[in-house]
Amino acid sequence: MTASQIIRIDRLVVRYGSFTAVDGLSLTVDQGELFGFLGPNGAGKTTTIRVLIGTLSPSDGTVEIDGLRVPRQLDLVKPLFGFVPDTENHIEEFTGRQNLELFADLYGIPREAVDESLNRLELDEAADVHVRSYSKGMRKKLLIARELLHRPKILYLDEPTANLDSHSTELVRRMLRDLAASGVTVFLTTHNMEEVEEICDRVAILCRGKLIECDTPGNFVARYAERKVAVHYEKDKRTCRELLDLDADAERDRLAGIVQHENCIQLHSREFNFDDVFRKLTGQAYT
Amino acid sequence: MILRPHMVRILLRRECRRLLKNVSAVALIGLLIAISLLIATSETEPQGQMRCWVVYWQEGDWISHLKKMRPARSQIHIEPASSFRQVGEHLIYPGNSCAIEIRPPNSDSGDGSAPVRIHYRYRGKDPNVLMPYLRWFWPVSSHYFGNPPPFIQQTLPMGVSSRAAAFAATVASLRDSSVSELVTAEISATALLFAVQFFTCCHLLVSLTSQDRERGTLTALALTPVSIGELLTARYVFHLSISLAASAAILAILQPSALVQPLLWTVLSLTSLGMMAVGMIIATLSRTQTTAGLLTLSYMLGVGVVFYLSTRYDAFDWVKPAMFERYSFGLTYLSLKLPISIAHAPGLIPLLILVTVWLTAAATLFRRLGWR
Repeated sequence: MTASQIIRIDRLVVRYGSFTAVDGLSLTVDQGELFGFLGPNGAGKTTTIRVLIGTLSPSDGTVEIDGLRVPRQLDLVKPLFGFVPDTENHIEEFTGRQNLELFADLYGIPREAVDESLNRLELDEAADVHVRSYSKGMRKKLLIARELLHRPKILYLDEPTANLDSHSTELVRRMLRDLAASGVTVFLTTHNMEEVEEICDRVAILCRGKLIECDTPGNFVARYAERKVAVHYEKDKRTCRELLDLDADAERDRLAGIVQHENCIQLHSREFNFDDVFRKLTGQAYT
Repeated sequence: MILRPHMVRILLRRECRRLLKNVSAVALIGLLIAISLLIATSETEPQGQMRCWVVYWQEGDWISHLKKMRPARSQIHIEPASSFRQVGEHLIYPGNSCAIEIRPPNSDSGDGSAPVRIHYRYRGKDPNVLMPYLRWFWPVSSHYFGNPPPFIQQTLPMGVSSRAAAFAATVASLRDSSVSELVTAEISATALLFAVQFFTCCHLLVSLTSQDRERGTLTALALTPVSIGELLTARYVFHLSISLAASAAILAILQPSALVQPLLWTVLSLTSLGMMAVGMIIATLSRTQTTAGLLTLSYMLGVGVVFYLSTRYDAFDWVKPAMFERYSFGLTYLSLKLPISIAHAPGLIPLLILVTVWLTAAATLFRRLGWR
């Protein structure tokens, strides 16, 4: 483990009976990195996070956080991270402020941090309202506020922007970028590919418990981009549409033929984004 | 395992705030205390003119003990048989009275081990007139005999010969005496204390813990610097405190003298801990609050059914010694009934052992599964 590597997963295996949820996963995450952990439903993302936070013991392999073994040294690891789960786990009977105050007390940090955290997530106006009256988005923001209270070195987030409106989504994304810039390692799972492309430094794609690839979103797109052209033309008084791959000789010739001999109505190149890469890679994994 | 008091204090504060917001839980505890108030205000006194004669044929330590323990200003009179006119085997009693006759062992049996014969005599048709006096007689006798010899008991209307009585003689030990069939103030208090302990230590603990588990709050708390031991300790201290506070309120209403019984408090504390351990195991093994609630109900009914069946069928006898509730109920009742001394402390050993086993199992399970 190098000095900058804060998370190290080595040949991690998690089995539920005969079902293998995570199968030999190995990866490292650097300090201050905004790391996206992607995969279709049931790929093993949440299971991996549960191992990282110590609520699930691995069947095989090792996990080290800042040089400490999980779950063996969990007591030492716990103060290092914050965990924002996909389902909120607030104390419903308490107000937003009371929820944060409880956690601030447990972490032994001053109450001023509560106000600061509430302000940061724009929850100060609703701070004294009972959590049960909060909207889903507010609950999510309160979770993030809670997990940032103790200024963790690592922040695990499971679907952080689900249920958030566009303003709050932007707020959270900006905050995550700021956190990463200040040296906090952000490890997030999401199904929002636009978000991944926009904010993640590096991305790991997991499918059926196995790591498919790990790279930057830009490299993924560059490597897997498909040069395709959608062409609309008129033939025998009917409008036809074809999607042609420019990397295939026959399809390139076909495009030339259409342009020369048919009444071409519309011609445009199709942009290949990270979502396409994701679907291509996970689709290949399934086939 | 190091417990940090400030962590436990923070968690306790949270539990208190949470309970105060739980109106139904507070109302139920209040209801149990209100029931004890009703019992206290409506408890029937022995009928004004009725007198009970405790008649003996032979002086002895037991009789001296009965005289010593005779309640002040009561209608119980302890007299030798010679004080009454005798016709045949009958003693002639004044009007409006009943009697507990402690007759010598039957001379027909020959060996000296024959049981003492206890005859209950009453006027009219209702043997229940004896009940208030038996409520005093049997516990006091039970207190005297550590390992009681069997008695022959008969309940007979006055003026009817015991030989001619239709009632069959019953051989019984003190432990299984007819007292258990009576609804007494002490039994009411014991039942109420049991209900309070069940509600506060088992039902409420299961409800709050499984709610925390279902919501994921327990995991969130466990991922803070709080240790699992501190989480568990805070829960136990919180529920034990409510249980003892509610028990104190009930005792203050029903039997204030019991408030200074250290042995009673030991029994109550051990029972509460046992019930919390059972509750924690239920909460740990249930995935949802609904399942946990059903399991708690099953536990309560299960204990009742096994208790009942074990009084009827021998096959259930082996289950009873393994149930801490059996010792709890008996010891609580006895501590309310009698001035129990430290000499009775060994009676706590099986309770202590069983509760320790339950607590260990609960802690192990919670550490492995409960907080996740």
